[in-house]
Amino acid sequence: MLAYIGRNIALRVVLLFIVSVLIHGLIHLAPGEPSAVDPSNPRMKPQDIAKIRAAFHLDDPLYLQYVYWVRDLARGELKSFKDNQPVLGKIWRRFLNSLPLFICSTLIVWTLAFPVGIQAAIRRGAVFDRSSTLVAYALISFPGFFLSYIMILGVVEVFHVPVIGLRTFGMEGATGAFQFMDRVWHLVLPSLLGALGGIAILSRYVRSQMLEVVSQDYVRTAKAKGLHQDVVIYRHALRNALLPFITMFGLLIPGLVGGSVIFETIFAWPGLGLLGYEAILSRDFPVILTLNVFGAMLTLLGTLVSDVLYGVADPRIRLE
Amino acid sequence: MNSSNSHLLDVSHLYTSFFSDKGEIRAVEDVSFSIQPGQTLALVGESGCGKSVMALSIMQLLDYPGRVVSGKIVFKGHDLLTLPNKEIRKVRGNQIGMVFQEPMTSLNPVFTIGDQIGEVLEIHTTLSRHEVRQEVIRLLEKVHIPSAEQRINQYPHEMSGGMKTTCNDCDGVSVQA
Amino acid sequence: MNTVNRPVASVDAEKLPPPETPWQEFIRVYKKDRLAVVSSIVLAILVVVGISGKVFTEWVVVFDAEVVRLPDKFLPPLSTPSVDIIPAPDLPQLGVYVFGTDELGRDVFARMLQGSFVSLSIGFVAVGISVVVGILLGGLAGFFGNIQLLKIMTVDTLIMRFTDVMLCIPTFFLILTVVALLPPSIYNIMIVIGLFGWMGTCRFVRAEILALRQQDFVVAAEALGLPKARIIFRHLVPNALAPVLVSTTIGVATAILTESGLSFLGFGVQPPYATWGNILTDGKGFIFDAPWLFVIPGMAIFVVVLAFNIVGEGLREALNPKLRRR
Repeated sequence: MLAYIGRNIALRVVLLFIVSVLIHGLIHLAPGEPSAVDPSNPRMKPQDIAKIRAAFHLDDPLYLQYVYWVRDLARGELKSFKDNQPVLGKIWRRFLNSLPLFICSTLIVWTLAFPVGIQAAIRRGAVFDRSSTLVAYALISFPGFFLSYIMILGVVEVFHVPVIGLRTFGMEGATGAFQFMDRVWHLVLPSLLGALGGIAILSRYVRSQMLEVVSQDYVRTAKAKGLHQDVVIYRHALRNALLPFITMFGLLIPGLVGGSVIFETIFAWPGLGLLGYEAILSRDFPVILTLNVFGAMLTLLGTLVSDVLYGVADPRIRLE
Repeated sequence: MNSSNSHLLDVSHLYTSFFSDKGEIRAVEDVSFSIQPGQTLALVGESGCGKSVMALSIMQLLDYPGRVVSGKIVFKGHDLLTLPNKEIRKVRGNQIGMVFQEPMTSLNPVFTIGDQIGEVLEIHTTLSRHEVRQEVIRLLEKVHIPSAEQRINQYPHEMSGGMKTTCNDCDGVSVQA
Repeated sequence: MNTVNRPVASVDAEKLPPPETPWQEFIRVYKKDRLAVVSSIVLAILVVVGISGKVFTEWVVVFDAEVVRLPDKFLPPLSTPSVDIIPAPDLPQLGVYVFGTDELGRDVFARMLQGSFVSLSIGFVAVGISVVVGILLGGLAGFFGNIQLLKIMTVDTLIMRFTDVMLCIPTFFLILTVVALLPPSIYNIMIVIGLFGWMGTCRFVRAEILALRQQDFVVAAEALGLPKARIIFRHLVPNALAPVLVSTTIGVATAILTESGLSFLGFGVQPPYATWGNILTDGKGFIFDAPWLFVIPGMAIFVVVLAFNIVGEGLREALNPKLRRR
């Protein structure tokens, strides 16, 4: 088991290295660089641009730039091009902002998608199955921000749910409990809207997985023993159907970085996605690069966690 | 239609069909037989002639799109076709057991052998967990599974094909048999 | 027991109907899914609309999407133009603004028509790229996977590790990064969306080929000494085609959504090209004053993406023998 984990961590470190080289090359080879953000600015003289390029090592060969990036990152000295703040600190603060949003929407997704998917599978072809299928397709077919705007229009008027930022400004003097509730209140709409697509996709997966398992022989065996329908479904079938979702759990984690760009932009939520968006707008290479690699790292971590969990949950798999 | 009380099981004029999108396909047509207590009945026929479907019909285990169209299945004086679900569950595994053909797929891969065989006893008897365990061990020893005490904590994939078949047989044996 | 005399299909061999071809079976199953049939019709109409969009807004300019009519800005759908002020050649062809006008008095109907071609071609080209890349790499890994490279790794290992690498990059964010850094061009957007979407296709083309290679009919074909190319095209391609077709259909939907997401963030297709994504993005600024500028493109994207998704699901059901038999 430990050897398995060790070997897999080593493999993932190698993968991460390749990914970082790839992203680094991609970002630096693409035209458009920090000095060219504002070409029409009359105060930008050629010597200024040269100075900027020198300061950011942009004149050095590509592999040297990569080495500089790794060195600075390792020492924790990597600075943003935009405001000279340490990149790691920036990412960490934004990560802490993204985390509650991510956890909330993940919880909403998983608590709703499973009952819906299971019920749809049990009642295959019935009204519930058909309507939940249609709703699921509808939800994944809306452009995310279109649905968000419509919802914002509808919901804000009725429930007075806040839609901007992660807390109300000027509340620093309020009691702890009040501030906490304020934060939760701000989470409601973004996490709900962020979850909709996930509910749709996951419930479809649950449904097809359940259908697959329900037709297995051992489910019939369980019925032949005289077990109650619910015991058959929730004990014998569900446990087998759940196995693949352990893998999905790992693949959810990168959503922390990539999936949230649009929603964080809509709700002015100062999380990782918004940080990335701002960094892209200002060609802030260190932040863009580190964020992409951070996302890849989270994914690799997620797949490792799901591999290990899979080994624990499925007696047929032994990790060696 | 002579369902005298001496019969344990009395199947009369059983029709079972599958309703596929190409129309009705008859799997069991007008089958009648009866079994008396202590009697053994073996059903023989070429493959695909409906033996399994008939057995599944008796147990009410047919999956959509299969359905019993007409006929009577009288077991101990009750027509199984008209019994509510709750009553049928009391018959399944308790009074009528079923041994399935495919040991590889008929055992649930994520539960131990002991759990699966013991499950029948747990729901149809009032035995304690410990007693269930002893009973399962006794059952496995009866069918000559070596070191039954260790075997009951193993998962189906850890056993050989023949051993799985044997466990599968145990799994299918009904409580009152 | 009145069922006895009813004529029914029997299991007797001589009474069985002649076996239908896979194609007939596919059509029969697909037709039963009414939603999928309706969606296919929607898509067929859409293709016609898209092509006529190209023809009538660019080649034979019947509907000019670029005419600015400031007196007629923000007119709701179906309003009539101000005939007295606007010069005759600039009046909308249909006599009314079917979908209203935008902040510059441009005809939204004409813009949507023009955008339909651009949006659709983004979807199809992007998916085309990812399918070609996916099939090539997946096919290579599946067929020539055993070949050693420099004695370190096999072709299969190389390709599948690369696929893993691509899978573990947060895709949307990287697409956003690359599109933002590249010069804004519709072709760049197609290529980038395409190049980040081939991993799924590659994986199941490979899986399908590996699974098929084990099967008896392919082993038999090999044993008979049939040439490899013949085995590939006669036996493997038709079998691997089904999942590719399904993922292509759903991929077009995803690509259209991705483009609208990029548009929303300001990195989509730039003017003068109108796409549904950037009409929608422009419209969000006038959501209170001119809701049709937002609702019309939004619903258009929704209907089309939904149709693609439902057709994809219908194809999956109809092409998957395992699901079919249930």
